[in-house]
Amino acid sequence: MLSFARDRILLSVCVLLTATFVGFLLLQASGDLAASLAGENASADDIAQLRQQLGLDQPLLLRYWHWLIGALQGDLGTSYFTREPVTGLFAERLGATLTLAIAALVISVVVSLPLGVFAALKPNSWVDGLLSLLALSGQAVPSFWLGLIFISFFGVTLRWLPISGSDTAMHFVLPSVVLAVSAIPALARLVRSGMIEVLSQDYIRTARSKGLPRHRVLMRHALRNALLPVISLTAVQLGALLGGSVIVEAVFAIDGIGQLTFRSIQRGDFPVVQAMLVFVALSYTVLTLVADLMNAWIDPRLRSRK
Amino acid sequence: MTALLSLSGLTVDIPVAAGTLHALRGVTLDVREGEVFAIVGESGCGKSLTAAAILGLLPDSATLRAERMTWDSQDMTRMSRRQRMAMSGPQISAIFQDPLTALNPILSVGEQMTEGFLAHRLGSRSQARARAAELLEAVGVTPAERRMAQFPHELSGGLRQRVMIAMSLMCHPRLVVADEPTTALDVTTQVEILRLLQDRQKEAGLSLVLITHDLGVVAHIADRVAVMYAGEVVEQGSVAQVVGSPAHPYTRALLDCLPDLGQPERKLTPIPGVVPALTGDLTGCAFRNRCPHAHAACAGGIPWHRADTGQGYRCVLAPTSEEAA
Repeated sequence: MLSFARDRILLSVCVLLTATFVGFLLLQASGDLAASLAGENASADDIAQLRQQLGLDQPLLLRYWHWLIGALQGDLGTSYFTREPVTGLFAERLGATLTLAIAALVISVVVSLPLGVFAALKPNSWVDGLLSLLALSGQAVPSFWLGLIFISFFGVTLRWLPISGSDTAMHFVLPSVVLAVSAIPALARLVRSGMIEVLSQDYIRTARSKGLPRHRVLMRHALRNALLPVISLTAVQLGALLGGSVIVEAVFAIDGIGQLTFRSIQRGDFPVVQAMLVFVALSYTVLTLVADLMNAWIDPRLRSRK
Repeated sequence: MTALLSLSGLTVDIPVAAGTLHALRGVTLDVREGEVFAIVGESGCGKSLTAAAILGLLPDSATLRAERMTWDSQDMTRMSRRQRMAMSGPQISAIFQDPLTALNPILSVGEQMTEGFLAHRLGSRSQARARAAELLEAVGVTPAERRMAQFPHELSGGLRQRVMIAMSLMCHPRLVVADEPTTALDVTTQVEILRLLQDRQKEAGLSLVLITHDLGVVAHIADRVAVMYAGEVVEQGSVAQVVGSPAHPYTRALLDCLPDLGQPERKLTPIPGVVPALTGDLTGCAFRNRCPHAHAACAGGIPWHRADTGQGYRCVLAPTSEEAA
């Protein structure tokens, strides 16, 4: 298990370095940053001066190297617009996004696990059909629309929950439910199909032949095996949620990472966008690593595979 | 000798796309205390389904009916789900065909060995581990302590089947149902596993129902045998009777398919034709379309003939029917 973890961590570091480098190149290739920052009426001298001021005249590799050294020390540069350190801009907004993402994930998992298991126990029954229908609707409904409906019903009509901002825990209820609704269908389907497949395996028959209680066969023998792909998908979904849910943050006026990124891309605020890229790459890498380790912890075959 | 397990007129119907599959059509057999009872037949004859019915592992969609289905004189058809569950392990246990898929890949050998023992509250965790270690040693899975920490994928097929055998004995069952226990193994391993099964069966004094398509295996270790065809038992008796002087044309045909090392010149005779579909209404002898001796009477009802020796068969043919009637 230890050597497995070590190999995976080394691999993750390589992935991360590659991702930041490629991202750096792509952003540089997106156009002349100095020219677009200086504005339409700037003279060639102004642009050259700005370019020098921002360090954009140095060779690309050297700039990446400086950026990397800084990043490793926690310095991601300063925003071209607000002149604030990028790390600070992120830190202020990370809490809201993190709360939203984790709440949405917890709701999704808590709902989709029992739903999927239940559907798998009676495949093609009316209960299963109803669940498929609900799952399909959940996937088909756009989150901005669901968000607006929630605001008008729970916020305006019933006045149960606050509809904008991120001051209290209550503020996160509606947006995280909206996010969860879009994440649940895929998870529930994966649990269902995984359980159906596992329940037809020979070892389930063996477990039943031992006279084990039904819930034990389900939880210990079936669900643990069916969970492996679910863990991987959950990691990817959490990664997507952490990347910021631009639409839901906008609908509920939550100033999170999604909003920050959206604004920075519009303004060509290169250091912020690059930091965002690192953050997303880091989230995905760490989450995938955690998912791999969890899967290896559950399934011994993954541990011994070289 | 009294019957430990007694089945009479056991039918199992399974709904399928084309209608109803009459998978078992009146299976009648008795398994006595301490004997090895073999059930033989080709694929699809219902032998594995008979095993599933005995183990209470029929699919949910199947309907089971029986004139009599008793375990130690108790009516099994009236038992609740809970009562049947309590029997699985301590009374009847199972060994399955493919040891590669019959063990859970993510639980250690030790966990899988002990969980039934613990679920039936037969003792403490350390007692369970001690019993598991003792049984693993007895079936040659050594060193037992280290093997118990291993996972199925770390063991060879033969070792896994040994684990399966040891596992089936954990709760001191009175009957072990072994469904093709050697089919998935190498020929050399097959012999070892069979010998092991036989040793364990003798030592523990338990009854063994051995499901197989291999008459060679039957001749090797069984006391009595039932030959199944198209969902019913067509012949039943001691191994000496059924293998030595088969009464049913199907049994004879099966024996003619077996190679004989003593007579390498003899040509093997395959059975012509195919097994009839079991979805429609079947009357008369199900084997008549493949039988060399078939005649008009075979389309009628076929009575069960029983000789004084105990050998019985379902056929209208003359050779022994006068004395058997």
